[in-house]
Amino acid sequence: MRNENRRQEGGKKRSERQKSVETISDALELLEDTMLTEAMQKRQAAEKEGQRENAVKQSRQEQRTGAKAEEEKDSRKRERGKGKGKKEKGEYRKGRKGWKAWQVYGGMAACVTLLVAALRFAPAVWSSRQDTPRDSVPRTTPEQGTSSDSVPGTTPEQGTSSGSVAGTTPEQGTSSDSVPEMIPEQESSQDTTPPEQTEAGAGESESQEAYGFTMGNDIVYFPISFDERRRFGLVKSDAIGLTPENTYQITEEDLGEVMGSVQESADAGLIGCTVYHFAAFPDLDAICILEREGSYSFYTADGIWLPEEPGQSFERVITAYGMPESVVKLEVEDREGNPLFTITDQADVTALCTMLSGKTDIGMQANNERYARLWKDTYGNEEVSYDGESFFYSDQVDYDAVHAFWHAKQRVIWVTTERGFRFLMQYNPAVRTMECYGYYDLTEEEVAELNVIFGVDGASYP
Amino acid sequence: MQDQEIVLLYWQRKETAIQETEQKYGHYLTTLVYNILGDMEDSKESVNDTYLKAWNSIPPQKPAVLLTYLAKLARRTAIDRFRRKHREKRRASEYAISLSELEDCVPDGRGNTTEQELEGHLLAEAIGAYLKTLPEEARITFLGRYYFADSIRQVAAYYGMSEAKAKSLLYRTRIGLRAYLEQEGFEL
Repeated sequence: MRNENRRQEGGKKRSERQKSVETISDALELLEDTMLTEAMQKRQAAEKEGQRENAVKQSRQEQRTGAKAEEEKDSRKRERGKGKGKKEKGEYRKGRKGWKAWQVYGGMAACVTLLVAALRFAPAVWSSRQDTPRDSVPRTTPEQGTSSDSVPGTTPEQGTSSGSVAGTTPEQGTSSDSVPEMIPEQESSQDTTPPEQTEAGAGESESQEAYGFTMGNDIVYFPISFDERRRFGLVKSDAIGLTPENTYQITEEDLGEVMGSVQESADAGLIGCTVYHFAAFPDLDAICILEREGSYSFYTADGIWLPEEPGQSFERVITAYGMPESVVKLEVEDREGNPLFTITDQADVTALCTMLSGKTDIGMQANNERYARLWKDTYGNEEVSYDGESFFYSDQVDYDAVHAFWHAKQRVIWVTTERGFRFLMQYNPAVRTMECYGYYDLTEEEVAELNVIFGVDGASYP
Repeated sequence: MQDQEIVLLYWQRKETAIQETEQKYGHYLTTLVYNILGDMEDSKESVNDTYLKAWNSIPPQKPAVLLTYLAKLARRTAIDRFRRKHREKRRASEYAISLSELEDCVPDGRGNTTEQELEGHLLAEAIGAYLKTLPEEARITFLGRYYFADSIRQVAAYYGMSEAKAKSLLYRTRIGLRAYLEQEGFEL
């Protein structure tokens, strides 16, 4: 009887929550049209980009297939023993030509890919990027060392030093490093800040769109967000909005060495503009100052754009970021985004990089198939299945329970490098993969080692 | 054909209005509705119902952005159909999955919540106000997931981010919305 009452009570509460959820879902329809239109346009643009990329991939695939067919044809001719000598020389010449053609096609494909990436990242609403943080990753306890000096980020950190106890550094800071640490990143749900004001003021701050740029490489820069201003100490940590009074005024004294000039941007007016290091952080590439018609603006980059495709090696990530030496810290969170601890021990970082360096991307589909297979192997049914595109859940399973089963031991790792870049890794012990610019298979031994590094206990599954 | 021209056809009560609408937006509406219903037959019927609703409402309506107007009609139609068919159990569709995620946004109940009727517009205003405080990336990703019911992979593709980052971003947005609604005194 008691169990029956409990079930009824639970069912009643569930139906109340369900009703509340439906209320929220219905309320979304009453949002302003402008907001919905903005989302719709972004959605359509992403769909078109996806179609364009598929077309590029298909074209490359066809070229490869064509080149392979040519090679096979030549190989068959050779096997038939016809036209040896002179023809072989001719074939060699053809082979050379084929390779040259590949160089041209490869170069063109790389340019198209880079352009697609730049266009994809380009459009953004100016005011919202200026007002509010772009990346609201919660930090752990506030990082000490918010000094009032003019060069933020260099105050000595409190707490344990690096290299002492890997994986258990309490959140009083990391080892001393040149990456700014003094500003805690906080949830910023309340920011309603006016547009950024630069020295020159008018042009950029009043523009309705913010464009990114590249300097001819794979790093895409965007106008600095409010959260990044806090991160780099350009506003006080307790500032809740950008105002004319607290906006950092860039002067010539803030200009460090020239980094380069804008090579690609959806804003044609940016092309050719000079980009400088920020003098306060001369070694950081993640923040820079762009000069445009005599006015200066801060731009930042999260990381390096790297294309993802099954079969690619993780080595390209290591090379692009200069790992492991360039890694300053790994901030580890649980699957809900709750901070756990920070790793600064280079031994752990090196072990991680060594482990991943020889691996190739198995692709998202293969990764997802592992989740479906895990379910089937564990429960002996296909109440959760994957068709290569989407997951399907039968009426008998609880979606939350399924995801808790899959991801309970998951770790989200934010990697910060000495150039100031910050990118994400996701460790999925349940299916033995690491996700970072692709999906990489892990052996059981590697999982055991990573469980120690990332504080995952008893990661075996029934 | 431009949106204004299509709307004009509606106003002139020319049936080619439906054909033009279908040609321009049929695919988009079908994928939107499919996210909710998870069944192609139901989706096609739902999209047809949407065209009928558009025909019956224009005039007097004169939408400035036709796609936004149609998407609202389509979403509403699809959700109604979804609820009629699946009131008691969950169906495998992205909408159903996204609904379960929205539970994170429900403030903790205080008092007799089943008795309270909540004004939809007030709630929408509050949600809109909260979304406006977010960076564009977070706002658009949230709407993509919970208004358009796009999959995590699709919303991650909006900004070329990884799925992990998209999930993390959505989670933080949901938690932030809950805190905001609680602060504003909403009880659901």
